[in-house]
Amino acid sequence: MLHCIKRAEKGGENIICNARLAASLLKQQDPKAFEMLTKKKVHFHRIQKNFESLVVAPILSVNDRNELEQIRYSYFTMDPFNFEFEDMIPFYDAYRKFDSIIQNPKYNYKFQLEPGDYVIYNNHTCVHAREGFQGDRHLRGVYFDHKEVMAYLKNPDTKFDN
Amino acid sequence: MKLGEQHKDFFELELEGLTYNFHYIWLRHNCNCIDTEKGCRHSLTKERIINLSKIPRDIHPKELKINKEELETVWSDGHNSTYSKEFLLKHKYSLKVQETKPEDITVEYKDRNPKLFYDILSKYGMLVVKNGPKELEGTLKIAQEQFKSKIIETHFGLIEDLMPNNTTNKNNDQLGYTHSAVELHTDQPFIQNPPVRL
Repeated sequence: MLHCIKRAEKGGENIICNARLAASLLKQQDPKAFEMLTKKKVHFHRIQKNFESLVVAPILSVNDRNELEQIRYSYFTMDPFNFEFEDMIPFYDAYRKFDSIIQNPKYNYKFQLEPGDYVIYNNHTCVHAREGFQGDRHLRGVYFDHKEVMAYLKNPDTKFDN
Repeated sequence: MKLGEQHKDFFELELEGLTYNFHYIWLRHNCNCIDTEKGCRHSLTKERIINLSKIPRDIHPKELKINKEELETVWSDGHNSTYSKEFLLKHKYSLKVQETKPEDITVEYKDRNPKLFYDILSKYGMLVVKNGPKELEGTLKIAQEQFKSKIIETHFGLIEDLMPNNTTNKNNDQLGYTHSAVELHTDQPFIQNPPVRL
């Protein structure tokens, strides 16, 4: 969840895209690209001054029916690709093709959060972005466990107090 | 259950807030009526006696309707079938992924309720709530009141204050804490099970 405390004077809009939709569109439009992104493993590697973590996984993790279960997508935390020679260009092509789908305004949603607004998104099935901005801006971010929250929302013990 | 669009080989059906595709041939094949002479399962053994190879390729419903919590069909081969909601939920195989319109995922804070949140998040994976609490403490209040779930801590801390010149978080040498644009991405792909942010 991202809760807006202060919005930027200029810029700072949020963008979200449902990657389940994007993945199914990619599968229809370019099965080879889809296969590349579901099969080739990428090193997602965060290196900070006091923190380091690495996961090796494909960008699109799918189930037996090729439905998206989890997307890992981060142009700013990947190690150099280590694929065989023949796969390298096709992989870049596949990545670019997928990116063109999620960047298409038809498939994503751009909005400006005002103070008091908040957005919730599934970090396993959505990708999100923000525009650059000037001056001050303050969003508070927290993470929940998906299963826990959905289980509660489906069977709340009490109604919200309105 | 709600009937959706009917296509040449399949139709769309809404079950518990999500839309699924079912092929006619699959549905006809999986009729569970019990009648040794004219039906699909043997009355004694309950085994399927209809051989799927005998179902015509162009099988389609002459009539398709929802009656109480059951799907009723009159097939082009003259057969009638009934399918329970439980059966369809158990054996569904194709989720229709919905395109998102802003009005589909935006809710006013005063209209918030668990069922609405659940429906929107199941369908689209995202939800925008307008005009909620403005104060700093509002974040925790929303988390506790509306999601009744514990917050997952990350290497940034419990609550991220995403702002330039951040002083409250650890490891804030990261794009989120700058003025820069950050293009479409997921958070924490470098963690084995990244938090879902709902």
